[in-house]
Amino acid sequence: MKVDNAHSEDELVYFLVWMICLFFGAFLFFLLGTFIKRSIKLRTQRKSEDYQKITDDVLFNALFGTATLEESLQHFNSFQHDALLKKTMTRSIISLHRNYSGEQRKLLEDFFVLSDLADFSYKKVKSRGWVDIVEGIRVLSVLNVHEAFIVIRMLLAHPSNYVKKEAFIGLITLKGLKGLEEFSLPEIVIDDWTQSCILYQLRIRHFNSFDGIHHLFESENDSLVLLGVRIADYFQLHEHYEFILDLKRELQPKYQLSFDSIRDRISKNLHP
Amino acid sequence: MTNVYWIDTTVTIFNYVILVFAVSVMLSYLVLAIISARALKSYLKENRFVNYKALLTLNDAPSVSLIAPAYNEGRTIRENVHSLLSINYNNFNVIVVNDGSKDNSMEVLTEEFQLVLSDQHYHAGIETKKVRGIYVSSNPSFAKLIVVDKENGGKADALNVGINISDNPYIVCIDVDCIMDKDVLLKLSKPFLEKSGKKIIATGGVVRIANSCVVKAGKLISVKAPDNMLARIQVLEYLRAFILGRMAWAKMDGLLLISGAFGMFDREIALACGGYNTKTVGEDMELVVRMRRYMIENKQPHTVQFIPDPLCWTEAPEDYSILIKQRSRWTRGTYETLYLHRKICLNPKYGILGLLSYPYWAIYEFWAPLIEFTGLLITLLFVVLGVLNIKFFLLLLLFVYVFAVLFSMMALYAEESTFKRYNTFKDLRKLVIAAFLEPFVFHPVVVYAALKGNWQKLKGQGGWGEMTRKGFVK
Repeated sequence: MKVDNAHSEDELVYFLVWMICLFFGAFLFFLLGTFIKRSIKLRTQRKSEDYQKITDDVLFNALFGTATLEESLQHFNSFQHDALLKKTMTRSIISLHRNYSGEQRKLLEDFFVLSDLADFSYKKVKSRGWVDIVEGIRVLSVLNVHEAFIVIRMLLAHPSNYVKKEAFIGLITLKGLKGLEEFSLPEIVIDDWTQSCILYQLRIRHFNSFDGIHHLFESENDSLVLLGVRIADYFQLHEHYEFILDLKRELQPKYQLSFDSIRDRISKNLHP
Repeated sequence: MTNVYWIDTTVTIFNYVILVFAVSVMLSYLVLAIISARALKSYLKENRFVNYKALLTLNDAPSVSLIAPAYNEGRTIRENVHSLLSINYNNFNVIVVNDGSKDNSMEVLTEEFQLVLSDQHYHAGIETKKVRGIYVSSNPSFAKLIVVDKENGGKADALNVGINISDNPYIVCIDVDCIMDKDVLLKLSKPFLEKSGKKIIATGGVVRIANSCVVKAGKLISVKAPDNMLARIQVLEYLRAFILGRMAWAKMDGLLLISGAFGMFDREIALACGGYNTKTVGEDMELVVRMRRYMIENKQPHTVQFIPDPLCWTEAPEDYSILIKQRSRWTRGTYETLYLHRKICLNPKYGILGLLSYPYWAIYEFWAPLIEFTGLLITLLFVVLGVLNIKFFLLLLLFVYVFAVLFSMMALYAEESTFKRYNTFKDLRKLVIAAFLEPFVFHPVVVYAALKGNWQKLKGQGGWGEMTRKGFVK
């Protein structure tokens, strides 16, 4: 068979010209895309800085008594509420909420509920994408919106494991371990990462009562038993130490190692 | 066209071969980029709300040893070790291995950290050069620090000493002069805490270029595109490799390389495999391949993870001579690893590793510069013979050039859509200009370095070569 060299050359040239044009087009697309993204980012940053000034103004006036809650709400409502302003305000409330306690913390919670911010989070919880749902749960639980407990509880049955885990953390964040009596414990694995998030929430929210911990000890779910043991160890709940040492439960191998090491530590604490 | 049939046919076949190779390289890059983009998107989604500080509450978080080999680092070692000790994590220690430095590294460390000789017995699970002494600090503030003084044996040997000394289940091997993100261990540990069915034997992270970035007290203060063109081009190269390449290999569970500057390993498996190979200059890649082979041959399900967050920042060479030394060493390392583990090539027993990762590395990482050079020689021959198809040749060059610029632009776009570490338009402009210049001022040098690496290997030359660093902007 003879190769038609002239024809082959034409084919190659044709192919190359087309590919060069295609790549050049793609290059322009990514170049423009990058510059557009950068300018949107810088614009959002500037807008966010402006919004930060507004939120600081509104919240500090409310917190330090130069304006009443109603006046602050009116002040806030006088601005156009786009998603970025809502996000900036929610972020500021969460960060101040973490730093203050008592009346000021309560005022921040009331501000959140009475403004349209809580509705914004509820909408997220009811949306379809798991990322939005997780964000909604996180905000509502951190800002102590107890009315959201029922909505979040229903999410324990959500098909996404991310949502289930976040709902479990959210419920504990809202009511501490006492809240465990109000719902059936999830069947999904609460991995070490999620457990550390729960411990963190219990710590920063200064829960004094760990009444529902026995629900964890009695759970069929090995990961929840380990969570209970971890909570007892971390918060030094001495009243449960003997029970933990006597616990005859054989956990799945992946939990047994952590379980044994915590029991060793507890045992050394009890019988130094 | 010469109208001599056999000459024209030879030229046509050559043109096709070159074109098919170029297209296959481009296709493979594009496929990897698409897989990476999807994996990145899902990683960012899953980690959008993660509060890594939560892990600090877990008393039984995985215990980790940071192993930092040091050779003649006396000028910067004080600040570097302070920086390592200030990492946010509960259960970790820092093992600095002084690899027989000829400068005052040991004196600086002893004075700064009030070191005293420890009575800890050195058990050489992996055979190493002689350990002169193990030191700990008499100051409780530095209780997490262990310094080992040993005879010079190279980076791999120093790392092996660290593996022997550590009693933690996980080790993180780093270059002592790298700038680490303070949350590096929190981020590395997360996958271990979200246990999947498979054992995670190693985790790699993204290494970024720190030239011209502002560093204060061992901490990265602001990120800037390097002023030096060579370093700037390497920013693009690292973005392409880590964001558009390794992320995809990790997603396919075919990762063969974890950067020597920064990687986390399961100590038990690393020990069982015999630790780092001191006879190769590509010890980072070789260890990962050996660990994976070990797991497969022992029928243990395993995985190697990759974290796309920029966790480690390093200084890139700013002049050609150091760049050439570095790249020729990388070529030798790749060759040595591929040769040592040639058994896995196209062997179905090793799954994706043998059927895809190994052949890919062999063809597109090791052979590519050789093929490119051969193509260039044949082209020159055609010029001499007067049979070169100029139109095709120029179009082919333009085709490859446009793709190279496009791919760098894709990497910049990916960075802009994800971690956004370069904040100004000026930085962006600098990097785009670098993308245009790279094929002229960088790529030919890298090909030359690869050829040199092969030549050195043929001649039996080894070693690391001098790698001088300029230091960070403070």
